[in-house]
Amino acid sequence: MNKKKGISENTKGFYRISWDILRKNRLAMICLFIVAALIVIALFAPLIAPRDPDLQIIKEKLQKPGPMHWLGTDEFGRDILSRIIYGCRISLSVGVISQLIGTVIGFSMGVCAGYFGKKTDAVISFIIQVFSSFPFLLFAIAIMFVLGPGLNNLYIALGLLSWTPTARLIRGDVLRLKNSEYIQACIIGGGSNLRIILTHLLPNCFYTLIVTSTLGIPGAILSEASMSFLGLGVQPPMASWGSMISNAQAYIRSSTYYSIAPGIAIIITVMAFNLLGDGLRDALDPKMRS
Amino acid sequence: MTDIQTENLLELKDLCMSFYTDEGKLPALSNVTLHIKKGQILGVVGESGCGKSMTALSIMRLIPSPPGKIDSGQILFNGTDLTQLSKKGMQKIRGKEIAMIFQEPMSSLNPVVPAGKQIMEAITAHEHTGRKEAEARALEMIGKVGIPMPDKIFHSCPHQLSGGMRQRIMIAMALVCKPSLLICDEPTTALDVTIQAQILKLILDLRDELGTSVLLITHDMGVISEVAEMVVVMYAGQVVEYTSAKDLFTRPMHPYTTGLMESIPKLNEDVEELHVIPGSVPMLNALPEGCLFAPRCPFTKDMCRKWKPAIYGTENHQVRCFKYSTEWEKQS
Amino acid sequence: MKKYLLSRIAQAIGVVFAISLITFFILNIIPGNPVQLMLGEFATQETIDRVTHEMGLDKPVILQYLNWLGNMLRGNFGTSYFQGRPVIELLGQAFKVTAGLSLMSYALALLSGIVFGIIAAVYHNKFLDKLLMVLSIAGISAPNFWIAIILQIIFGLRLHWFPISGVSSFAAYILPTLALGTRYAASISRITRTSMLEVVKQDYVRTAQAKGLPSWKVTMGHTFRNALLPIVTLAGSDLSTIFTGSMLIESVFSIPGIGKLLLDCIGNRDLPVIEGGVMYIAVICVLIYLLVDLLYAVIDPRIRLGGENE
Repeated sequence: MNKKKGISENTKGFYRISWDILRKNRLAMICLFIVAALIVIALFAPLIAPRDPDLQIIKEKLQKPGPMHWLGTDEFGRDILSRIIYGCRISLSVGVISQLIGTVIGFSMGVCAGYFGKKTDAVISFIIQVFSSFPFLLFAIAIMFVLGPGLNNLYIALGLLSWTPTARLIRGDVLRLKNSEYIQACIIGGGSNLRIILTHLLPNCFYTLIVTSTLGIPGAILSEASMSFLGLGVQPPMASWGSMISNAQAYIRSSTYYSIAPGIAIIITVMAFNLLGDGLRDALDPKMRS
Repeated sequence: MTDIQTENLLELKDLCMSFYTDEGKLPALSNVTLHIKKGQILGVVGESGCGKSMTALSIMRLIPSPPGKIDSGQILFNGTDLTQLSKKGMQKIRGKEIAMIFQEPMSSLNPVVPAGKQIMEAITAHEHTGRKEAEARALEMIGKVGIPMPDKIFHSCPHQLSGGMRQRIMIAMALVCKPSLLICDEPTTALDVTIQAQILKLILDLRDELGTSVLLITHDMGVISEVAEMVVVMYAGQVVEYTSAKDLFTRPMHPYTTGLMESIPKLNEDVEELHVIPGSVPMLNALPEGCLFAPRCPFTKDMCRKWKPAIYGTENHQVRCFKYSTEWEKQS
Repeated sequence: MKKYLLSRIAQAIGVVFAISLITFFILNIIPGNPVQLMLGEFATQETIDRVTHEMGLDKPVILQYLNWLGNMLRGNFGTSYFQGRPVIELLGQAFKVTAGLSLMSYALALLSGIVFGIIAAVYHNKFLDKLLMVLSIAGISAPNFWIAIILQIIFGLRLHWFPISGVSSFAAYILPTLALGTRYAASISRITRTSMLEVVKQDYVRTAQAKGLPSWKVTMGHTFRNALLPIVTLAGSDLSTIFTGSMLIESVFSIPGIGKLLLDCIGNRDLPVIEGGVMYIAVICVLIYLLVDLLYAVIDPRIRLGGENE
């Protein structure tokens, strides 16, 4: 028996089957493509954007979409298309980083609660309850209030708050796994707790981790947009889709195109992650194997 | 005993039903032919997956409709062909003329509605009675199926009742409108042995009192010997033998039936090894040409592998096997 | 049942206390002297110190917390630094507006969400189902403040059907209600559909059909009735997020609700209002969760009645 690798479902075969199931889901594959495209746009924004997003040409301000500026210009004469492309960086980075932080915290808390049981569980479950009882965004605003606005603080604030769903589910997984025979065997066989957790529990939690983090990204992106809209997130001159919508408010009578484009960008991005997340969840779901 | 009437209450003629899936067409039922007379108890026996439940669900037209479909054949109930009936027409028959009880009483009752109300629902769906009258009839029925303190049970929810009680409630629900046919799909399989006997006796008593015909589906030979009058044996979606319960045990004709009988360990015999039928039931997407049992049959001849056997025999004992045809002796 | 309720209430109280602790300590470790902000640039150090002492802000934090908590329990949420009025008054006024908007939005969302969800489930895999599902995904993916702005543009500015700011008339509530409710209608329709499709696979639905019940009775009395539980769960957690949702909507439509009040006070660091407002909202959220738990007991007799009798 290979003691080094964690014992989990026949790992290679499992992911192969999942990929096959995912491939058949046309909608999910389209969204996978869109998400990949968004990642490319975010990574290579300087190469893709037609103009410098911060370049202000006051003469050209508030122009309607045309051949020079495909999506028009904002109140400082900056090219909206370029700003949207750079905004993609912000949205995706917030989504990914906050979920990363949240998943790590959530996994740790969930494992501690499920594995060490009794008092630790009671305390952690209570903390989870407290965090979930309170509106997410309000908490985030409170933290931003303390830390001050700005992108980096936003990563921290959102990361600190998005761990609860993960923690709950991981706790459930660990409780279930703890009672399974092979984990009992591992515990009896000796080895530090950390080792058992990392080599045996973690691989079996991959399903939960992948699904909750993917499905958490849309929420994080929307939260960033909302915070930036309220002025508590990204600060000027950085271009976030949320702050662009906020700025566009002053010009809704004259330049409606300004309000529309960033919103559409958000919808496409969030929808793509949502649908991809749904597809991933179905493809990886061990219960749906027939 | 029952007085046998020459009219058939229910007659299935060459019923073919298949599932159309991603893996192709799966013929779940092939040329199923059987009949039940008024007041008769017909047992349907066979291994899991042989099509017994599918036959019952086809009669009730409750086969999930993608992917299942009745391809051909007739289901004649009192002369009406149920395969041609509209949805509304079928709703009038279900619960009122033909009723069905299922294997798992645990999950077959609505968990959030009290038991008595579920029985009342069956009444109000089919008859124009007032609430009070429906309630009274439901209470009466609960008492009739042998439940003590019907009043208390009437207001109880299914999770508060034991398995045996839930099955009695199912029976009450099924018989409250006095249907002419009751279909029981493995009614006792999920219950304790002692409760099994009680439920079977209940079904028999109610049949005697109400004159209901019963189609009893089971894989348990013991149940067949206790309750059934005539028996149909199914294999891989086909009917392979039809005879009385007595003859099934004393003079089985089809090689599959014979194999089944030999597999039952007998108390008065000492055997070293249990008898098994070699091979396994064919998958629905890989059915053999010719007789479906041929690959496992000890008597197979060439004609068995090439052609599908027709039904041979007398009115009271029929078998789908070439061995009983007139050409058998001539073939190699 | 009583045990269930009591344990839930005890838990709720514990949560509220925990939130009060977290809130107070987070908000009081911020840098920047609120008194200085309040008094303006030209205040002397002496005045600042005097006012600080008067307001009890020079005491140790724990003492300040206990004072604050004690006051709150007696209904005294303090006085706004900037508006000089009791916080509780400001909150109460603003809350009425927010409550009206939120309840209307949620009622609309529940009605439309459940109806569309049932339709999608009944017509599963047909065109109507797919259409409704695409719309509902779009609904949960669009930021509600953006929907608000688009509604303003189309129905306010172009068509002139409804006012786009303030709460002067009932008509003024219509666009904000639509904007706030869209997202919830979408998520409710999704969960309704999913739940219905799960339940329809259950044995007891087949039993209902075998009894010869008409299709609508099977759908509503058996399938939907059992599909309710997850919908109620979602409704519960949704209702608490409606406050932050309304914050954004109030901002777009200039509605004087609790969200806008909090935002304004965050801007000028009006600490008592922020602390009071956060606690106010927290208590309401916890109450909503309690109500939902109560609702579970009503809907699911398994919780209400307990175990087996023979």
